[in-house]
Amino acid sequence: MPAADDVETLAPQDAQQAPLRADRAVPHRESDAPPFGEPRAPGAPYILPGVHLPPLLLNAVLLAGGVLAGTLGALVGVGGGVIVVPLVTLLGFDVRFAFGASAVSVIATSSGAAAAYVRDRVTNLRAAIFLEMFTTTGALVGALLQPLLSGAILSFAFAGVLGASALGLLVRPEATERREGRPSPGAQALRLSAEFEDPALGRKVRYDVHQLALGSFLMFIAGNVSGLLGIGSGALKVPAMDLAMGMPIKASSATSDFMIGVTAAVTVGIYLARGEITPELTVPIGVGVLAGSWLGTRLIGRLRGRWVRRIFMGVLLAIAAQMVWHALRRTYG
Amino acid sequence: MPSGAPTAEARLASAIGHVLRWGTIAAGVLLLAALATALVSHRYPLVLTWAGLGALMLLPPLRIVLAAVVFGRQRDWKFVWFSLVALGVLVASNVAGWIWGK
Repeated sequence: MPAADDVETLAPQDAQQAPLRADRAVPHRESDAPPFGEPRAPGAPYILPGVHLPPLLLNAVLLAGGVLAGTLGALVGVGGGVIVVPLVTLLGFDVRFAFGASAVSVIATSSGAAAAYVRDRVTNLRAAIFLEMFTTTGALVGALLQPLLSGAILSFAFAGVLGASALGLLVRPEATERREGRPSPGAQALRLSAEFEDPALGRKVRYDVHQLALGSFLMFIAGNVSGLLGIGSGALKVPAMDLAMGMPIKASSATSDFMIGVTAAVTVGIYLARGEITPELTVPIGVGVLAGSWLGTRLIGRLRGRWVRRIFMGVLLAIAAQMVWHALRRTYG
Repeated sequence: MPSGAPTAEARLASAIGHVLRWGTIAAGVLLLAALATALVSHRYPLVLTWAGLGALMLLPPLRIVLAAVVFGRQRDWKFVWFSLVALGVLVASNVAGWIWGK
């Protein structure tokens, strides 16, 4: 391959990246690297306090983080931003690159996990396609509103919603393993009822879809949050399906996995245009996430729904804590 | 569930499942090759890297296109419409994001 094809940073709009390039152009000797914790553009040397992190180790850390994010994402229907964003910022990269990497991680988790869940028929495709209308529109509205709203208030609001969802799962831990009563007429008209084989239970689980209007509204809100905060918002999609629409937790997380990639794809063009999707981060994380999501789809068959919910609750609380921390830092930092 | 629905569902699931599976395998192989190249030469190969990332980023719109096609063949027009709304928003926001996002 000709040398001209190999560039240090492959952001498509490199010419637009003048400030970043300036940042990056400076430190070439390790002693010139910015101290740990300060925002650092990709390509700069990576130094932890007292610890030299050579490229091989850095890639190993990113890869391992990706595997963890992908596994967790495939298990509980979230995109893995909860792992990727803190990991990338802790390694000293600017948070913008963390969100770019997170967007790619969401798409990778979504595609890797959905490949298996769609084949195994756990994903409710009709529900996913129907609800996708609301999440994509919501994400677009959220992205348009972003400049008008305060990030700190948003983060607090999001943390509150997540805390409430976790509480909902705690209070009604088994409520939606089977929901009685009439499914919503809209869901019946759209034939959203489905069934899937649950290996952990050793039988088929049949379910109807309830409260379609509420579910659609919640998906619009989840889309808003995606567009505003640049996340996949699987953490909101799963409770919308599980708690509001009465879908079993495994079907909810599999359907969420299918949807989050599409929601994240609504805003990925913006990250690309700004050059915030950088190979140094997204390639190792992407490879790890694809492997991890495959692993997660193998694991979920062995887990009972109850455990999937417990893991999901842990993830919700972790994201909520992260959001509060971000908001506090933005307000007082 | 009305009769005939399971086979239609199975066709949709199989079409989308195949595309996602081979799409992620292709993206994974390309990205792994890019990573290996970068570890050896300390630079990311332009074509390989963006082919991998591009394949990955095209999978979300692709699954919606495929859903529209399969629903269309089943003459399930409501769901064709749903798919097209989602796809339209996706394409429009990315075009707008590319133009004004900077």
